[in-house]
Amino acid sequence: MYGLKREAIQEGLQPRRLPVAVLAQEFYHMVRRRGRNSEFSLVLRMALRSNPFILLGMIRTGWKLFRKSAICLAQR
Amino acid sequence: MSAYSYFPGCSLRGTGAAYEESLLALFHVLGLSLTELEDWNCCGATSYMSIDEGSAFLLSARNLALAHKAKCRDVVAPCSACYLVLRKTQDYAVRYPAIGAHVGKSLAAANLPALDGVRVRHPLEVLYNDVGADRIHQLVKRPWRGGPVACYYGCQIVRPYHEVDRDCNPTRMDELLNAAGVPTVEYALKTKCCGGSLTGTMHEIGVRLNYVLLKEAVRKRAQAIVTVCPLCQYNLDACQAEIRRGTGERYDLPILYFTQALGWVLGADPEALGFSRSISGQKSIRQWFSTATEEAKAYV
Amino acid sequence: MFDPDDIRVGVYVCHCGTNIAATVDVRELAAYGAGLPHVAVSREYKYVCSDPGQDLIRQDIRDHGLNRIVVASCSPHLHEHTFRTATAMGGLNAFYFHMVNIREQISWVNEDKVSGTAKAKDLLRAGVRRVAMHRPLERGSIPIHPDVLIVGGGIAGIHAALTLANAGKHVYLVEREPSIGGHMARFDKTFPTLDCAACILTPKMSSVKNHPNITLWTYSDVSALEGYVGSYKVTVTRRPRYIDESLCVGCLECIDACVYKQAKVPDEFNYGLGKRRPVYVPFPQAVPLVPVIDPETCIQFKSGKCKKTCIEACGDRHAIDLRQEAKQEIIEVGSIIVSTGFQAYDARRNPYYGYGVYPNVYTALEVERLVNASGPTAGEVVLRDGRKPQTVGIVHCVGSRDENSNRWCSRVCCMYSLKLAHLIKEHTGAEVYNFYIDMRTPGKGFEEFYQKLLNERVHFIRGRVAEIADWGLDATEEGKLVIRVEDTLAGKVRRIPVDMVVLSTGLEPQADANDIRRLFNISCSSEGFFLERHPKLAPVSTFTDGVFLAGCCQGPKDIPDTVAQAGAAAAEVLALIDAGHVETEPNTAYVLDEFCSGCKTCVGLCPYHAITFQEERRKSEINQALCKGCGTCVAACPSAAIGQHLFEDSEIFEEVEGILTYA
Repeated sequence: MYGLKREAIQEGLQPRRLPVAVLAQEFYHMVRRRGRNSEFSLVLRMALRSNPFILLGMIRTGWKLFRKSAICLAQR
Repeated sequence: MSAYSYFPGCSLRGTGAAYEESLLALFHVLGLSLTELEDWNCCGATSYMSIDEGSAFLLSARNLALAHKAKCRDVVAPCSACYLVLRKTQDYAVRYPAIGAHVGKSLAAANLPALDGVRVRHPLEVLYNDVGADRIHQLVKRPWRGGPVACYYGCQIVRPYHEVDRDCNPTRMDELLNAAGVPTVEYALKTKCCGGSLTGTMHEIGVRLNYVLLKEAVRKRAQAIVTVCPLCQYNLDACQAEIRRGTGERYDLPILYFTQALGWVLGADPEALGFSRSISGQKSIRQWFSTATEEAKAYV
Repeated sequence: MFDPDDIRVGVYVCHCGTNIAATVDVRELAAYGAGLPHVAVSREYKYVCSDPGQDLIRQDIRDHGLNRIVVASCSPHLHEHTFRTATAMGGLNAFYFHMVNIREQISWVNEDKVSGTAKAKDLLRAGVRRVAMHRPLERGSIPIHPDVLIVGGGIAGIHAALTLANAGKHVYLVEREPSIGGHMARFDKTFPTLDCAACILTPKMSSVKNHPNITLWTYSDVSALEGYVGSYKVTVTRRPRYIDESLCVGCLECIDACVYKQAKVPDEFNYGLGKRRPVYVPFPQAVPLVPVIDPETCIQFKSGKCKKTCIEACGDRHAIDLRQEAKQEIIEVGSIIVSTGFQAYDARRNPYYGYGVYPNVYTALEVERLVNASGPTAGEVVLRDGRKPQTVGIVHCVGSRDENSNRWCSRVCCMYSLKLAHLIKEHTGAEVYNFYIDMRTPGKGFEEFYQKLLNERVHFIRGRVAEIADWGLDATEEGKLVIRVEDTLAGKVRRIPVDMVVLSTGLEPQADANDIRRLFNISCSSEGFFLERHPKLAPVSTFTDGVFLAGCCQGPKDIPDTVAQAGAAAAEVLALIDAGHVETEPNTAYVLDEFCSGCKTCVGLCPYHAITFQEERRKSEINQALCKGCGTCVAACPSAAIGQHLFEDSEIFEEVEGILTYA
């Protein structure tokens, strides 16, 4: 299954803004660069690259999480 | 006092903060020592593996080698995805010589020891095997004031490896909670997927999956769902508001980590268990855990 | 007539048409044979196995005073017997014959005629040297006792018993349940004709009861077995029913009189769907119609304080004897038919199907009892709470064709699933769904039966059921069992909500098959079913002479095949009995007492238990009737005290020397 995914990515077969693919790629880049990743940055980057409207839908939840200090804006 | 190496993973430092807090508190009460793995890196989870398989194994191998170097060979990985990827790396490095050679070479180049002898553990399995339901039963300090719960295992810790539990009708979490005096219900959907990252990328599908899980838990008269995975907990927790809006049905279940439930019953400090971090079910949480805080403090 | 030291060998090289002649120069070989020591006659012939060919041998023995025969042709498996007979008809002992295989061993595996012929010469030379050492041997003869033991009283055992009894032979039919009838007694209708199973079975069961040549022992087991074909000594343990069969008249008043006013014990015959009392008959047409008292549930046995109204009801007949003990009967028989049947796969082993978890998941055998008019619900197909189901799902291949449980196909489940679909639809008018992998309908009328079902609007979904659960996604699924299956023909995953699920469980060997096997000294295949001697040509014999198989204990099959196989087993037994004796091959091993040191190494090695140790003489002894001539003890004896007829050291060494000596 992973093999098929990788082939598709190499051939550039997935829609450029498909959120699932974008998430995986951003995850990959972030881990390569920083060694760890932060969920907040990840979701932000994923949404910006694929479909920013996702962020709108998450505002409510995001605010609640922020209030409970479950979101870290920086790496802990 | 047995020493475990602790691999938090990225999500326990993010939305899964309550899991880390309650895990540390619970292990402290049980007298098990957890030493955070120094300079750990992200395990890669499924995303990394799907982009670059070759180096995906190296990410996990580095973590396991660091544990070996620290002479702390049992690595406890609470997050289901971390557990699975680390466990898979440990398995594949032995089973597939090509991967084993690749990993061995890179570790040697980074001046890290080989992987032999390092075991990947999950806190649920550590409690079941190393502590045991009987001992947990003896250590109970507070009665459970809440209602019956549904134990939700999620998909990753029960397949394909069965050290944590079997994939068809797992019951170990139920056994531990029951030994601690927490009543559980029969929950047929205990290993059905919560959607994982789909709630972010394909939102409607993700929400629907969680709706099915919540609906069945309520149908079985569970008053809370107890999970082992930070992503499962987040999904079940965060989707409830939208489900309420979408269906008009009243869902407000606390979604707890099993470490929170056990931690409370075994007498850990309630403030340290991260109950306030849950989004849904706060009313029940306040009733079950906070009103008893004063009395509980007298016990502790 | 001739001096035993004057060896005169006749060599016959067969062309076998072009089979041998094409790759071996048979003329040259025959000429070479003529030049070998002791050879008086050497011929080549097109087909030595033909009548003229055999005549040639017989003629030459008389004309030339031959006293040894070598035929260089095909494998001994084919014609050794033919040529031995020809030799015997020529006046010589049959074992003065030796066969050299130049077909399978040379002609069929060589392409070069020159090297092939050279090799053939080596083998011929070896054969001629060996045959000079042959000694006259006689085949043994074991008399066959005319009585027969049949173990297992299902339809296979019943049919075999009746066939043999009608032929005038005395049969002991031993059955471990309180009544004969087996699984067939529990069926309602049989496919594809929808004959009532009980209606066709019970007349046969009565015939068994009334037949003067059949001794019927139910509630009994075979506990020990000794001997060999023709003379088996069998110990049958008759378990106590606590009712004397010879005094009981079958009025069944003891059952009505039992202090249990309500039947409370889940009954085995109905798979726990119905209830019985501690004193019971398994079903009304039981043969023999004698009740059994179950000591596990009878109050008198458990506490000693019962009014014993059953004994009162029995009155003057005094048939109830609570102090009855197990009895051992020792019988002598010449042949045995094993027809112990199958057991149904335990559906609990498939946890995803919810059997035992959700009350309305049934196995096919349970549903057989539901649809049966004499069953626990009087033929009403109802759910556990008494409601009639409106949708029913029948899941094929539960415990069959499955890597996780049994890999084989159980052969009857497709047909009985179709039958149940028809019966359920008839009884309830429900929507019926069959979930199948393939529809296996090989027998007479089977495919037509399937077509009939299609016309009755039964739904067929091709796909293996993944899961049966009780949680629903929407209102139509509330309160139902949801079957999740991939519909491979429609190409999508479907959820089918049903009220009742029927699991078509497969057939597997009985739980105690291994114990039975060891008792009768027969083997089993890798699945656990008893092994027939040859899958094509000897389907009812086993590798143990005198023990035959019939029915599902040999492999899953339906009723017509079972009856056919039972008839075949009976025929084999009749052949054995009518021949009166069985000839044993003389290539048996024997102990040379003067060399035997009494180390007992050989005793445990014999796979046929043919060697016994004689304590008084401190020597091993080999039973010539049981010995199959495998040679294990011969090779193993540290004192070289065991020889084997037809494979003496002298014969083998001559053969080896023959091959190694270059001409």
